Amino acid sequence: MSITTENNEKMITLMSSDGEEFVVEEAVAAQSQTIKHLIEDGCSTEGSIPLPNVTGRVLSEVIQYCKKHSSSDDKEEKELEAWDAEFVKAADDHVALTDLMMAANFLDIKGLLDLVAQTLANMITGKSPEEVRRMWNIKNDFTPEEAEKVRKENQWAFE
Amino acid sequence: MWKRRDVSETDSSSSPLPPRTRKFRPGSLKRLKPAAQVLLSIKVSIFKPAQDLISELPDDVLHLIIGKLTLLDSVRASILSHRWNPICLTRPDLVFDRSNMFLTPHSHESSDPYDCRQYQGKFVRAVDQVLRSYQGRKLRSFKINFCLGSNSTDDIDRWISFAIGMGAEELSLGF
Repeated sequence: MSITTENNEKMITLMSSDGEEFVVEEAVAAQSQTIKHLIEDGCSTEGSIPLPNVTGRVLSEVIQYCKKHSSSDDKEEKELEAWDAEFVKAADDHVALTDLMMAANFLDIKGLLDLVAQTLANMITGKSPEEVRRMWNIKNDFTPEEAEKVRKENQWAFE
Repeated sequence: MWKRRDVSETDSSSSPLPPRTRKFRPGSLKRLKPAAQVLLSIKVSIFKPAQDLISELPDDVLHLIIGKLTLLDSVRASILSHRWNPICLTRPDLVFDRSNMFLTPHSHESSDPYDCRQYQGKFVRAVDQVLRSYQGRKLRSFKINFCLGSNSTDDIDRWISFAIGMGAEELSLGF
C-alpha cells in the first residue's frame, strides 16, 4: 500500500537539533514511524515537529531518502535499488553511515535502517577482526587470556 | 571558550587583515584564555584518537548489522571487543549451511562437484561450538542444511533439542 498525495498535499515542518527547518509533504515525513505517530497524536498542528536527535545535515539526507521512497511504486523496484546503492555510496564513510543509522533508528524508518545495516555489514564481510577494528577504530579491550578464550570457544571460525 | 566576535563590529573596509585572520587574532584569544590552555586544547583536538562511533550504536542496531552477516563473519566479530561479543553471540537467527559457514570455492557452475562430505567433521564441530557459546535466551529461527549421514543422528538430535529448548519459532532441517 502507498499513500498518495496528489490531491492532498498537507505539509509538515520538521526542525533539526541545530534549528534548521524542513518543510515536507506529510506522506514523505510519515515514512518515519516516529513522525507518523507524532502526526497522529496531533503534535504537528502547532508549528514544527522538533527532532532533537537529528542534525540538519543528516535530516536533509533522510528526507531525500523518504522523498524517493514515498514517490516510487513497486514497478520501479530495480531503479529504487540502484538509487539506494548510490545513496549509501554518497554517505562516503562509516562515520556518516553511523549518523544515518542513529537517525533512522530514532525516526524508525525500517527501509533506511535495513539499507544502512546492510552497507555496514558489507564493510565487515570477509575482513579479519584486526582489519575491522582498524577500519572502525574499535579498541580491543580483551586481555590476551580473554581473547584466547573467545577464540577457543569458536575455534572453527578462526582456523 | 572565547566570545565569538560580532562580524559587524570587526568588518571594516579600512582593516588591512582579511576577515578570516581577524576572527582568530591571537591577541584576542590570549585575553580570554591562557595561551598554554589554548595550545593544549588544540593539541588535544588534533591528537584525540578517532572515535569508535559504531560501538556506541544501541544494541538493537548492532543486532541488525550482525544479523546481516554470515554466521562465520558474525562469530569472527565476537572477538572485536567486549561490546561486540555478546551482540554476536546472541543473534536470534542461526543458519547452519555451507555458504554461511565455510569459505568454499563456488563450484555450482563448474563441472567439478563440491564434495561436502569432507566438511562433515568440521561442520559438526562448528555447530557444537556455536551452540555451546550461544548467549541468547530465545531463538527466532534455527536452520540446518548440510549433507549429514546416519552417523550424525545423535548430533542432530542434540541440536534439535537445543533449538526447541530455546523456543525457536521456525525450525528447518535439510540433510
